[in-house]
Amino acid sequence: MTATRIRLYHKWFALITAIQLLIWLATGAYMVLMDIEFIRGKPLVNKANTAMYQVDTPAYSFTDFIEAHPDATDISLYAHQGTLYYRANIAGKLQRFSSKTGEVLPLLDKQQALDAAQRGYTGRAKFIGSAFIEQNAPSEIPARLIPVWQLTLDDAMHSTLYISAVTGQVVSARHDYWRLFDLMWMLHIMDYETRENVHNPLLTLMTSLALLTALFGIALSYISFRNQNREEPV
Amino acid sequence: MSLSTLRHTGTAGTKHSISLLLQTLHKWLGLIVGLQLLIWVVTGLAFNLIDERFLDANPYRTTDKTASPNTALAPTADLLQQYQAEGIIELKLTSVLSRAVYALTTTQQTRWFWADSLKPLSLTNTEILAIAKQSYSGSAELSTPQILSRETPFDANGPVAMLTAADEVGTRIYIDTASGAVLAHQNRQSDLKDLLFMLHFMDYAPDNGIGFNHLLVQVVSIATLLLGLSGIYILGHKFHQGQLSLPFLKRKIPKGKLALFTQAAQPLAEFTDLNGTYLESINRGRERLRTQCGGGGRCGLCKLRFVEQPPSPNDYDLDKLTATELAQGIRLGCQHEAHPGKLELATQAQHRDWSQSER
Repeated sequence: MTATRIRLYHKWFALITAIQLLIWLATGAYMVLMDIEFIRGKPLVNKANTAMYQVDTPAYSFTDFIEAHPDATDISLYAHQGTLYYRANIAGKLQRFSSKTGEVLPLLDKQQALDAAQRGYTGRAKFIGSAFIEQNAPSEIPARLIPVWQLTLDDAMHSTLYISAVTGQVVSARHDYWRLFDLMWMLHIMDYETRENVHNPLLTLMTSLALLTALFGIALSYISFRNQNREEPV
Repeated sequence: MSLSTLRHTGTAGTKHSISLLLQTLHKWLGLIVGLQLLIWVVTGLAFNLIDERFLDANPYRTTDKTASPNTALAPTADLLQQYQAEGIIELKLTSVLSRAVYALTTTQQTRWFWADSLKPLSLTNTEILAIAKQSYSGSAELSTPQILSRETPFDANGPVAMLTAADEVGTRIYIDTASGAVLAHQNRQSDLKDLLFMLHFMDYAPDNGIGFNHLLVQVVSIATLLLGLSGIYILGHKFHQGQLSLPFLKRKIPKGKLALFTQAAQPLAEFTDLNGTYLESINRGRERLRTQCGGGGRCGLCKLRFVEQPPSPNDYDLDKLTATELAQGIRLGCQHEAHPGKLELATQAQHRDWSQSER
């Protein structure tokens, strides 16, 4: 193949793939440059803030609990606002129980959720919004986390903490950089609906065309760097 | 003509240097990161085309079933008292081989205890093997556990034990000896997946897990982004120069022929299939006019003299040709859309190459 053809093909395939190539490069650069722990909202919350340093022995023991709920799974005794509670999955439903009496406790109200969030939150911004979400989880959290309290913070990146309305534990922390990351991921894999299917035909098509662009580009690179010192005929 | 040439040179001086500079940048960036761009595209295509089943790490992994422990539970008071100075976060009830286990998480660390005796959890090789077997649905024999001394990508709290199965995918099972938890199954399929990720993320030291937040990939991704941006600028510039006009949008080229003459004004050849640049039209089917760069306006080998009405020179002409050449009506054949008219070869070497190409 002549150099003229290779340059021509590189030019035309580049024209077809230019926008998507730039999207891949820009979204890829964003994803590698942003610290993934920050994106996941880790620095917003410190689990250790809920810890208790003076523990009263629970009057209601694990043995009592298992006797009362033989089908329970994922049983744990956890610290929440200076008190120990049991949490367990019973018939697929997460519930909270008193560690004194073993009784089922109601969902957290707004104030309790705010108090729990305040304790776990590491920043200084004020909580400015709250919503109780029992069904139709927002797309930024998995549906299995509901019911949750969605608490919005007054900071530049619109941080939002999600508190389990059952346990009062922080189950998710989102902010604008996460939302942008999610959008970047969608653009990167070209699945504009579920944002998770990397096996879509549009991606196959554009990647194949990009492969041709890159291959002709590399061939052109060879052409451009060969015989550099050859004298120009006059 | 010379007047307009001079005017052109004067005003386009700074503007044309940007596009030439970006083309040089594009060329060098292509040399440096072109191969990685190719790796990104190829591994991306592999992720897109390879069915998940062929990259699956868990074809023989049983679904976790936490069988409720049938052992007696010791009271938790002592445990909580002993570690409360560290700050108690959570005490989980789990089980290992149907024996109840307490997992105590403080602000410092997580510790595991047999829930019947409150003794720290420790596992014999036989128990580790039994845990691995419980997680494995294949029929192959499992090896004895081997404690790994190297760093692992797993989030393990104690030494990691590895067991292998002689099945057709070469299953490897990893167990955290501190908690008895099955950390992962791996096999030759998942190794391929890891290799693809390693290449895509440029993480060539993946012992601590394959990551994409390291300096190498950050620098190369920015360089490649510049490769893309400069490429788009060049495309835009070419479009501006009329070198990207689509065939169906193309202005009608008046029908006629392009007559090419020698430097001595002797007829040399005629072309009627005028499509693309002069260089492309003349070289259609065979390289009659030699070029090194293939029409990028960088080698200057395709210069031709327009006998009548030369087109106004573009930045590549201005870069490669002398003022005298420009005044004589010499232009780069690769930079102008072919039209019917009269042209002459511009160098002796072109005559030699031409006669060689005819043989």
